[in-house]
Amino acid sequence: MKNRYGRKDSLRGGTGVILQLLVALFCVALGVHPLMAQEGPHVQGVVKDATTGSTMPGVNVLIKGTTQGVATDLNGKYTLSISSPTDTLIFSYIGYQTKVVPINGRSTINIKLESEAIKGQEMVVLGYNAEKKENVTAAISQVKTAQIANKPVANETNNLVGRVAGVIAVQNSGEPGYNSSDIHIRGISTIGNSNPLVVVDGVPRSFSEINPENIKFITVLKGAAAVAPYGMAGANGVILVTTKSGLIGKPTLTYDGYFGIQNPTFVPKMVNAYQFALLKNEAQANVGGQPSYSQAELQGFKAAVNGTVDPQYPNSDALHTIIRNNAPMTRNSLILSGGTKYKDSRKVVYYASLGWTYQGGMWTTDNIHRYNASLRIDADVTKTTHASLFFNGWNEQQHYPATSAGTIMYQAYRTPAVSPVYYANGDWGSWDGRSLVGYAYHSGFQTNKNRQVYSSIYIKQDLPFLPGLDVKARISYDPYDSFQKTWNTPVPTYKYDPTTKTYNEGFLLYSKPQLSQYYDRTNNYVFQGYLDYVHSFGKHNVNLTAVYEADKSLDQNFGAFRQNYNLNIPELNDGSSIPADLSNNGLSSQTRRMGVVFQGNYNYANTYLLTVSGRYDGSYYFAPGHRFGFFPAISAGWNVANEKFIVDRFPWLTTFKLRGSWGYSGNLAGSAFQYLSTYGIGQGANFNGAPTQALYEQNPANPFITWEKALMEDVGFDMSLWSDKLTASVDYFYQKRSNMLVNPTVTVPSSYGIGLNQVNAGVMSNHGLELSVGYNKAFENGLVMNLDGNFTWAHNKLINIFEANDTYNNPNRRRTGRQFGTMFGYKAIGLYTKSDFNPDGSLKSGIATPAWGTVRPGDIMYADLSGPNGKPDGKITPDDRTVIGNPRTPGINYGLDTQFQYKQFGLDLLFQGAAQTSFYMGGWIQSPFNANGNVTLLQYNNHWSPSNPNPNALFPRVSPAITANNSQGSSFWVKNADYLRLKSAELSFTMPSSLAHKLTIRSMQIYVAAQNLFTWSPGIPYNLDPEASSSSGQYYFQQRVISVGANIHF
Amino acid sequence: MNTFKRLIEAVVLVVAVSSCSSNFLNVTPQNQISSASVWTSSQNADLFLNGIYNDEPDFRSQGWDLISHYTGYSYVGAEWMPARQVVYPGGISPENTVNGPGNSNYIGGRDHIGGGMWDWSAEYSRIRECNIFIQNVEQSTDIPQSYKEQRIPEARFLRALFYSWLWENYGGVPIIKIPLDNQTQGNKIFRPRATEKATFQFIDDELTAIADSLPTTQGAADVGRPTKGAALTLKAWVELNEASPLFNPSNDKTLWQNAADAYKKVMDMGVYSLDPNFNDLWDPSTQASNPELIFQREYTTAKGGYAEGYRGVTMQGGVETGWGNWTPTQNLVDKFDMSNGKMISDPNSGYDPQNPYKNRSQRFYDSIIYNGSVWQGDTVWTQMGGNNQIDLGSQSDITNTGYYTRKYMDKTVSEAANVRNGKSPENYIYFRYAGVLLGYAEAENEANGPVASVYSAVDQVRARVGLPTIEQAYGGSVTQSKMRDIIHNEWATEFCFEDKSWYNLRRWKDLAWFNSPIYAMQITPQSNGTKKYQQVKIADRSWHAYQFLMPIPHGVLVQNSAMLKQNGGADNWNNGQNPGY
Repeated sequence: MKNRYGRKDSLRGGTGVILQLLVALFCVALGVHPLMAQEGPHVQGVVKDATTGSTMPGVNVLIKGTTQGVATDLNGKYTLSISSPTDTLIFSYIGYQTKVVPINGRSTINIKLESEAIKGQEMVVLGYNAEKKENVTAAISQVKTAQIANKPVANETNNLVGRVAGVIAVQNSGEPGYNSSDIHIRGISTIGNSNPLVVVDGVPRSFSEINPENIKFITVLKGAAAVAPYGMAGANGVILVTTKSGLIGKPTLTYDGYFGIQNPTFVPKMVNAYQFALLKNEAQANVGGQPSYSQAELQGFKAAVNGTVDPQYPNSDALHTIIRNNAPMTRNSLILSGGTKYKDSRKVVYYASLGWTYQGGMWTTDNIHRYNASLRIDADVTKTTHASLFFNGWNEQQHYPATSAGTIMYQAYRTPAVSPVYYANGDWGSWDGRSLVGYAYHSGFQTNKNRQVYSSIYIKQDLPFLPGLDVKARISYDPYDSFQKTWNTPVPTYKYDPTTKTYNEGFLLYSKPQLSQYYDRTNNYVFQGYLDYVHSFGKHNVNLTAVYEADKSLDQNFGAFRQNYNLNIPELNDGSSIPADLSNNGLSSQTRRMGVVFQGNYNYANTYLLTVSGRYDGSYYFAPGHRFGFFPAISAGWNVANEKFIVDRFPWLTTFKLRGSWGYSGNLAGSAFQYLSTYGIGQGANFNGAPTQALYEQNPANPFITWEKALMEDVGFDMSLWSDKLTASVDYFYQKRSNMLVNPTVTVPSSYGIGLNQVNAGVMSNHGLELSVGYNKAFENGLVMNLDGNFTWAHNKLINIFEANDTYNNPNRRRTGRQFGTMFGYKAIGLYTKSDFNPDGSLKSGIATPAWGTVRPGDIMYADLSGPNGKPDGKITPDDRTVIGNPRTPGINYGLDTQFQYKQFGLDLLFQGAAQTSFYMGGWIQSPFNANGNVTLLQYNNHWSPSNPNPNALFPRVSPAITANNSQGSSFWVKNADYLRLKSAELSFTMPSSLAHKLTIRSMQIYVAAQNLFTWSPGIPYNLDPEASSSSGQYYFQQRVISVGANIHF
Repeated sequence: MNTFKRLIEAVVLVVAVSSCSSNFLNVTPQNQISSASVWTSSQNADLFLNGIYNDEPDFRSQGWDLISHYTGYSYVGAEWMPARQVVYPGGISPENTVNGPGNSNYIGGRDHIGGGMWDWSAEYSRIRECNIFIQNVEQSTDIPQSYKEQRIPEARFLRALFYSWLWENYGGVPIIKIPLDNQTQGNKIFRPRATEKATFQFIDDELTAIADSLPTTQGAADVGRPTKGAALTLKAWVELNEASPLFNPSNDKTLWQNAADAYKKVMDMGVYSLDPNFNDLWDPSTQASNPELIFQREYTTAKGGYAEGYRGVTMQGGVETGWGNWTPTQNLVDKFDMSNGKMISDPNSGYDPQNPYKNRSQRFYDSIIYNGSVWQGDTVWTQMGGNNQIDLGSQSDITNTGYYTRKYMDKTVSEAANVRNGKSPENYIYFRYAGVLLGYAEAENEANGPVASVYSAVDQVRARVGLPTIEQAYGGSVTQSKMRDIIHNEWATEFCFEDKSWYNLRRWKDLAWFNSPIYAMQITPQSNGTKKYQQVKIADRSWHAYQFLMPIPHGVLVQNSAMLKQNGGADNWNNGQNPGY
């Protein structure tokens, strides 16, 4: 009876909270101060971390023998109604030891919880099983998800960089929907696909779009023993994402949300109209051409720069005009969770969430809405049967102009100041047959509606005949739909006619609208069957897992197209019905994989540790008979601190674990079916009034094609002093990737006529160092400080790649033995000066002659390093090329996360940096008037000219298009892209609980946060982000985000 | 022990479940078909041949690598285009090659081989396609003999066409007649260059061999497939090239005579005649049946060309519609005759530099849009203050020269639409009968002087555009040298913008033309109502004699040691480009 009442109470309590919230909101709205009091006897108190002294929110406080309980608020406070002063309270929190405390008539009970880690109880998910953190011998890292919860990033992949050792992430674009980061674990170990495997709740899935609030923790698996269970998918490392489940206790409702504004981190500065016209005339003069702008025009533009508004003489700033200020961004989540424990100690917990994310783009027609929903129920169905049901889905609506961001940015760079972006009357102009405003705002639209559901059911059955043995099964069904609609309309544009003083309308791109629709659905199925055995025999502890896994995915797509719409209605049915105006397309494909995994952990007295793991794995990629591979690994450790002679002498040494691992992993490379000899299907020439179908030869098949094989080695140690006050981990890793697919085009002549079959012949090594250090301290005055630093250095080396003789035989140019992605080119040795030339314009003798046309003073001079015979030959030819820069992917990445908590205030700053990376200047950043386009102010101010014959000028002499000589790949254009960012910053304030109680909420935290607040990149002289993905600067800029947000716990 | 026994039993069970389903990994790709099934039917083989036709390069499906730009017949406002960035500064080198028009930028269809007309690796990819087709069709036991006899000559024609572009641009090249296979042929895949003569002979022999196997005429369904006339015309064209100064420095008259004879064979077929209306040649609705067209590539509205938008008049109706990439130079305009048949350099021509567009040949009015021309209903004014005021300094896309191109522009297609989706169904013409007449006249004049048949051939071409005969225009017969000038001028004006100038000017080794600056016509209205015409230099040009043959790209040489060793070659490559310049 008591039990039933208790449950009723808890239900009533749950609805009560929501009711109270509604009433409170109502009262606040009416300006009425709510008056409510806690009824009956109750206990209250604060829960703190025993080590750090910081308060702990979310701790479950349960009355023993009932299901009645609460969770602590953000200040660690709790208030719990009790039915009797002789009840006993149970304090539990994941990762901490559960504490059982009799009330004994007290009304205030403050508790300190000890981390399980101290006793090595904290469990770490390790692929297909879990192991006590203390006993892990593989190289792994964990991301502290508490740190990433409030950060205003629209894509979760951007939250990892700088926070964990071994993770190298580069964000290539800031565009909504396309702003995920490329993640590399321990750098790049292959010339093929170097993306890590991402596993969400046990199944390969993406975590980009998951609501960060739902993420419980992220584990990064790096060493062989950790990744071997993933077979052909593990060699690039594995990111394991585990989502939250409910906690036993009363239902809780949480609101999390922020609102932010975005602005580009950097926007290059361009010249004004007068400067543009002057420079264009200078460039024309340099090639013997006529001036582009007359004196009258120059004066007109000069006046425009000084403020005269005349539609004939615009002075526009295309980049800054098209990029709007303060693009909005928001995320809002509601989470309902709780759980019940029955008398027979069976339990059921639930966790449900709804989320909404909106991100606006640099132009208002570019934005995304994303709706996330999740539901997870974990229940003990019987005493030996545990079942979980899991749904995590999102529905994304992306809206873009019909013209891509790349094309818009291209036009933004092209449109010079002398061309109008907008006229004073609001009409917009065009440049070179394209219109910036027209493209961004009047070209039609593209909408993508993407829907993904991750669903799994998981059943675990303990087998009674052998204690510690259980079987598990997980079945996942992940459907994905993408529906795209692109409506291209004629783009209106206006041109001012100074004689009639009118603005003439014209149309670009299309004479009549056209519509494309595309539908894609993918169904992914995964089955996993587990057999687990966990047992201890005295001091021998054994944990064995065997898994059978099979997955398949089916993809189907269908598209339709109509053009020449007479009606302005973007529906297929409303379009033209003339056969020439219609087309459609569709294709289906499948992927399949299966494998058997084993993982076994053994330790003696938690001191001598051994793990063996591996997988027998097969993929549909390869020919029958060549489909399965075996990937074994072993790791061992010695937890020195658990030895009695250490415990006695160095009690402050909490952990000191030496560990090492060795093993093999794999990576799929190339594409499926390269073992099959096939012909492709495409479109042929027109015959008899219509296009025909065609077959074409594919690159020849390689029936023996196989996976990349990675030999992975790792040694390191984990150390913890004074009960985790100071922690450190150091790893040295080495990986040798072989069987890399190389496309040996260089071994056949161009006249061969087709590419060769790829062969598994490439070999590459990668080694490096990882270091993480953590320090935390609670000061007497209440200040709590956490410092977490990490550092990764990764350096790869090409050992065997196919290389042409001309590079291999030249030590300056040899790729083999160097880092993948090393930049090669000519070594620039300044600019030619007048004294380098004879009166007839030819180069003086003794000065090497370049191979690409005539050069003049102000052009780039290159070093004559070599010739066909390995010696300088007086000519600048490809033999003179050499190493000119580092790979674009940084060799060094580091981060420092500093957290301070003082009373109600919290401050969290993440500094993140990268080094050993080069950036090659191209496009507009290199050349003025690139693609009939604009000029940077830096170029205008710092180029060589007869009046500024500086042999060390930043830019060579100008010409209407960059000359063949000056556009050669050379060190002249390579810049050091090392940088340090204040990647993220957050200042939070937690409402005093007294105030929270008055508002009848459990707790509330408000914060301001920022991403990419400040960037220091001294090697880059122009206003461009050091992570710019395009050498021309023509890409959707990374964004600086500033946000305010709140967490409210009802 | 019981414990472990059960454990092992369980593991065995799991492994057993997995091993019984190894067929699980069998998946068939849906976007390709197995090689074995391609050469089992003539239908499938035809699909492969469709792909080869589709890979023919031409300027209607490519935006900027225009031969007319290279040769200075037209100019372009965009400085980054290869003509301005590489060709005019004399920058063609093994590191900076130009490849001519291709289908790399084709919109609206899948073309798996892009690359220009003489792009080395693209050309050999096309040649490989021909070799694959020829070998597999020949060897197939499933494909009927009648199909083999019909289609293999087509593939051999295409292969000869592709080789002719290589040879005309590079001189001697490796001759590959079978699909190379590194598995079975080893180092033999590294083919050295054949000499210029051997390459010519291969092309010439191939065309001789197949000519009679090809049909004399074709129905509308087969427009774009070669006929006997196409093979004979290509043969005559390569013989004309072989006889020209570039490949015939000693001026061996027998080579000229061979070319003349080859052209005569086409004329004697009696299949081809000049279309009385010059402009009809580019009318998409009648091209398929036009008696002048010998070999063309078919375009349709579903898969068409887009020259009009990219190259057409920039400003129409006060707004920018075309991109103006094809603006004839004053240098070319000066080559058009007067309506009396005289060149403007002739003191008696009646040419008035201050009224230069008066009394010019009809061909001029049909080919060039100039100040005051009407185009698609709009009058184009390139004069100062006009709606397309000349842009001497490349300020915008508007003409730098004062002219736009009219010839070869599909008048029915809106320029603005054509930039992206309004494709023109106008066919691209590789060979037409007027070229046969001029080729014959040129070769015959070089071999035997200005005999009657030379006059007759040139006069036919001139008469069609309303020009008086040579004898009428020049008051009697002319010298061989004068006849040469007239014929060269006919090539320039009759065939401007038809991708012949690059070959003609190089085979004539016309250094003076390639080195002359480019001029524009600036027209300034005067207060008294007259107009002042002034020729203005807009670009310098530089050309080196060694550029009459293209350099073999550096990348090609380093990939093939068999060619690298030829640096300097046995005959010092006098008759073909030294690969290492």
